[in-house]
Amino acid sequence: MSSSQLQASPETPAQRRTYFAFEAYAAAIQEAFVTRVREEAEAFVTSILPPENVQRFHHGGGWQHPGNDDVQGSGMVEHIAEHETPLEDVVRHELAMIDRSVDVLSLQMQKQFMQMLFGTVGKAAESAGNSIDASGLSPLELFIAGLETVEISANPDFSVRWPQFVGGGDMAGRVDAALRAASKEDLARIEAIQAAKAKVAIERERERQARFKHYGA
Amino acid sequence: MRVLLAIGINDYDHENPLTGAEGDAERVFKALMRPEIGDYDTDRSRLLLSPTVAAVRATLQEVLFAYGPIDTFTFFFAGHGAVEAGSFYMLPKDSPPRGLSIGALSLADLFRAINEAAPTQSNIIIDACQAGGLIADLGVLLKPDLIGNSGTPGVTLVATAAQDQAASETGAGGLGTNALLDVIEGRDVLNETAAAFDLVEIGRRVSTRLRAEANQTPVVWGLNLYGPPRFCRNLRAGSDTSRPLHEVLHAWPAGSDVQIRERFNDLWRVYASVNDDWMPRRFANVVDRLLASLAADAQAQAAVVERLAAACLERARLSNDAFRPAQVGATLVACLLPYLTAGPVAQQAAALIEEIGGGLLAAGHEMSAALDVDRYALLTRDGAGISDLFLLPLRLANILGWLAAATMIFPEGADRHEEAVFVFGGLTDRIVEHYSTSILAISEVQAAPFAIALSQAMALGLAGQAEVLTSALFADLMARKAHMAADDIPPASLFAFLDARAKGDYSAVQSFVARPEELTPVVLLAGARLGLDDVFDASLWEIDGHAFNIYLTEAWAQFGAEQMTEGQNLMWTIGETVFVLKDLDPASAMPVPAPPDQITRLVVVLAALTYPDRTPWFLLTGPAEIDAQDKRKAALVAY
Repeated sequence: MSSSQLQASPETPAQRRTYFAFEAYAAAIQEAFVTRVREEAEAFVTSILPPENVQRFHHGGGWQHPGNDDVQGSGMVEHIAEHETPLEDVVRHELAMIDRSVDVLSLQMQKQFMQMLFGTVGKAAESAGNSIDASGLSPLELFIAGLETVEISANPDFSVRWPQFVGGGDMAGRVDAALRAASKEDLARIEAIQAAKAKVAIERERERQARFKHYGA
Repeated sequence: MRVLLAIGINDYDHENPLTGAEGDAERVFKALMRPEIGDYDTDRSRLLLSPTVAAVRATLQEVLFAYGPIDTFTFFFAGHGAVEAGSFYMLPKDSPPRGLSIGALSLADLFRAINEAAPTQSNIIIDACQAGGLIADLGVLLKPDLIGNSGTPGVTLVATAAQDQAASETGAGGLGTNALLDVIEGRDVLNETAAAFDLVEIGRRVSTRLRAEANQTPVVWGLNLYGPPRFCRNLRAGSDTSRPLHEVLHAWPAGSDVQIRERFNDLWRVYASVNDDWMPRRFANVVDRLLASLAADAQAQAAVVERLAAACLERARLSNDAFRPAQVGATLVACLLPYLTAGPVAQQAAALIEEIGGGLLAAGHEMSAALDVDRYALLTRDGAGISDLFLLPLRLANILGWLAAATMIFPEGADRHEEAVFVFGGLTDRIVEHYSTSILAISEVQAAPFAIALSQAMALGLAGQAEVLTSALFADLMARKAHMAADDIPPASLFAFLDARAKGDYSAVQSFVARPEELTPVVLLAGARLGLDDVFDASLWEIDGHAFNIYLTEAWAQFGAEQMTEGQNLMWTIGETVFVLKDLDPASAMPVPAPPDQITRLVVVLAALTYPDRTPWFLLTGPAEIDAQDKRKAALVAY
C-alpha cells in the first residue's frame, strides 16, 4: 500500500468537509439548548394561560368544533425564532452567548405568542360582536364596557368563573388605578353588572346540565 | 472454479451508441483469462457483446447455477447505466426508455443472484455512466436479506464514473477500464511483493488515479477477508511471471476463514459504520475478537488486517471528516498492540502506520487550504454555534495532536519528514494566530493530544508556539479552578456543563467534573520543560486542593484495551504534594516506562489519540527534547 492512496477526497460527499466534527456531541448540545429555550417558552405560556387551559394536539392542520357555531375555526400558526451567533464569539469562547441566545430566542417566542394569542382572541371577539370601541372611553368606562360585553361562565357547582383582564402597555395599570379611585356609584354599577352576569351564567350552566339524562345522579 | 462474465455494449436500441464498451469487455476478458493473470475457467466464463436483457439473465443463470460451486466470480459491465427511483441499473442492448426494473439488470438483482450462488469471493466491476448512483443502492444492499448474513461470501465492487458523470471514453477505451487494465497487466505497479491482488486493492489505485487524472470519483466498496487475495495475480511479484494464479493461491496460509465467517455479520456492520456512525471502540471490539481467535497464526492476523484496512480506509474516504481515514487506520493498528512481537504483524503495523501518516498529511493540507479561504473553517456550521463552545477546544487539541503524530510517523530522515513538519508547524501557527482564545482546558480527553502536540512542538523547535499553547491552557486551568469535563460525560449533559462553566457554578454537574484528571499534569510538565516555572509557580495556589493523576504502565499490549489493569495511578494534590512545578516529578516515584521500539511507540501514540483516556507520558517525562532551532525553516526549504 502506498500512503498516497489514503488521500482525503474533498469532492466525494457534497457537504462541507469537517475536521473532528463530534457530530453526536454537537447534536446533544444543540438539543439541550433547544430544550432550554422550550422550557423558557413553556414557563412564559404558563404565566399567561393556566396549564389546564392548554391543549396539546398530536397532529396539525385546522380546528373545528362541530355543533358549536360560536367558536371560530383556525389553522396552525408556526412560531419561528432565529438568532445569529457571530463566529468570532465562538472562537473567543464567549460563554455569555449561551444566556444571550436563550434570552433572544425566548423573547422572540414570547412576542410571537402574545401576538398570536391576542390576535386570535381579537378576531374571535370581532366575529362574535364581542368587541367594544375603546376610543374616547376612560379606563373605568373601558372596564365597565368590557364587563358588560363579556360572557361569563359558571362552574358545575354554580360558582362563577370570572375572566382575567389583560391589558397591553400601561392600560392594565391605568384600569387598576381607576378602579381604586372609582366612586361609590361606579362601584355599585359594577357590582350590579356582575350580579346580573353571574345570574345569567348560573342559569346557562343549569340549562347545560339539564341536557344530560341524569347529571350528578 | 473461477468464473468470469464480461459484458460490453456498444449497440443500443433506445440509447446513444457507445464506441468502446465492447472493446473494454474484450480486453478485460482476454487479460483475466490468461492463466498467469486471472486464470479463469475457459469452459464456464463468458464474453457477451451487446446482448439483450434476456441473454444477460440467461447467461447469469448458466454461469452461476448450471455447474458446481464457484470459488471466484467476476462480473464486468461496460455500457450505459441509469439510476431510476433510487436504484442503479445496467442497460443491455434492448433496455426500454421506461420500465428499467423489467428491461434492465439492477444491481440488487445481481447481488441476489450472487448471494444465492454464494461464490467464496465475488468481484463486480462496472464502467458505466451514472455508476456513482449505485452508492444509494449499497446502503440498501447491506441489509441481511441481500448480503451480510451468516455464510455470505465476500463481495467487492468497483464502479467508475460518478452519479452525474459520464464514464469518459477515449479512443483507447474507457478511462476506468484502462486504469484497471494497467494494474492487472502490470503497467501500473501497485507493489512488487504481494503474489496476488484483491479487487479492493486494485480499485483503490484506480480510484486514486481517476480522481487525480479525470476528476472522477469512483466507488470502491466491499469486504473480502476470506482466503488469499484472488482477483488476479500480481505480475510484478516474483521471478516466474508465467506461473498460473491457482498455484499462487495454493501457497496462501489457510486457517482464518472459519473465524472470519463466524464474525462476518459484525465485520460488515462495523465496515458500514466507518464513514458514518464512527465509534472506534465498537469497531475495535469486533476486530479484537477476530485477532484473538487468530492468535496462533501471525500471518493470518497480518493478512486479515491488511485487507480490512484496504476496505475500511477506502470507505472512510466517503466520510465528511477529513481525518476519518487516519482515525480508522489508527483504530485498526491499535488492535495489533498485543501481537506486535510477531514479525508479520509488526510489518503490517508499519505499513499501516505509514498509510495513516499519509492520510494525516492529506487532511492537514486540505484543512490548510480551507483555512486559506475561510479563517473560520474549523468551526461547525449549520446552526451549531453553541456546541462549538465545547467542541472547538477539543477539535483544536485533536488537530494539533494528530498532526504532531504525523511528524513522529515521518521522523527526521524519512521521505515525508519535511512535509510533515511543514504541515504541523504551519497549522500550529495558524491556530496560535486565529484560535488561541479557544485553546482551553475544557475536558480531560485533551490530555493525550496536547501531550503529543506540545512534546513534538518542543522537539521540532517550535518552543514559541508550545509556550503560547501551554500558557493558554494554564491560564484557563487557573481561571476555571481546573474544572473540566470527565471523559465519560454523557453528551446530554454537555450543555449543562457549558452552562456551569459560564456561571462558575459546577454544583449541577459535579458528577461529570473530572477528578482526578490527567490534563493538569500535561500542562505542568510542559510548563516545566519550557522553563515557565516562575510564571506558573506564582499562580498555582489558585487550584489549591486540586488532585490530578498520571497512569503509568509498561504493559503496552494493553494500551489499546478498554481498561488497562497492570499499571499504577500516581496521584498528586496541589497544596499537599505539589506547591511548585518542580515538585511534580513522576520519575521520582517510579521509572516512567517507554515503549521498547519505534513501531510500538507509534502505535501507542496512535492508540492514545484514538482512546484519549490514556496518555503517552514517556513523551513528557524523558530527557527534554527541546530544539532551539525552528526546524520548519529547513523543512520549508526541503519540502
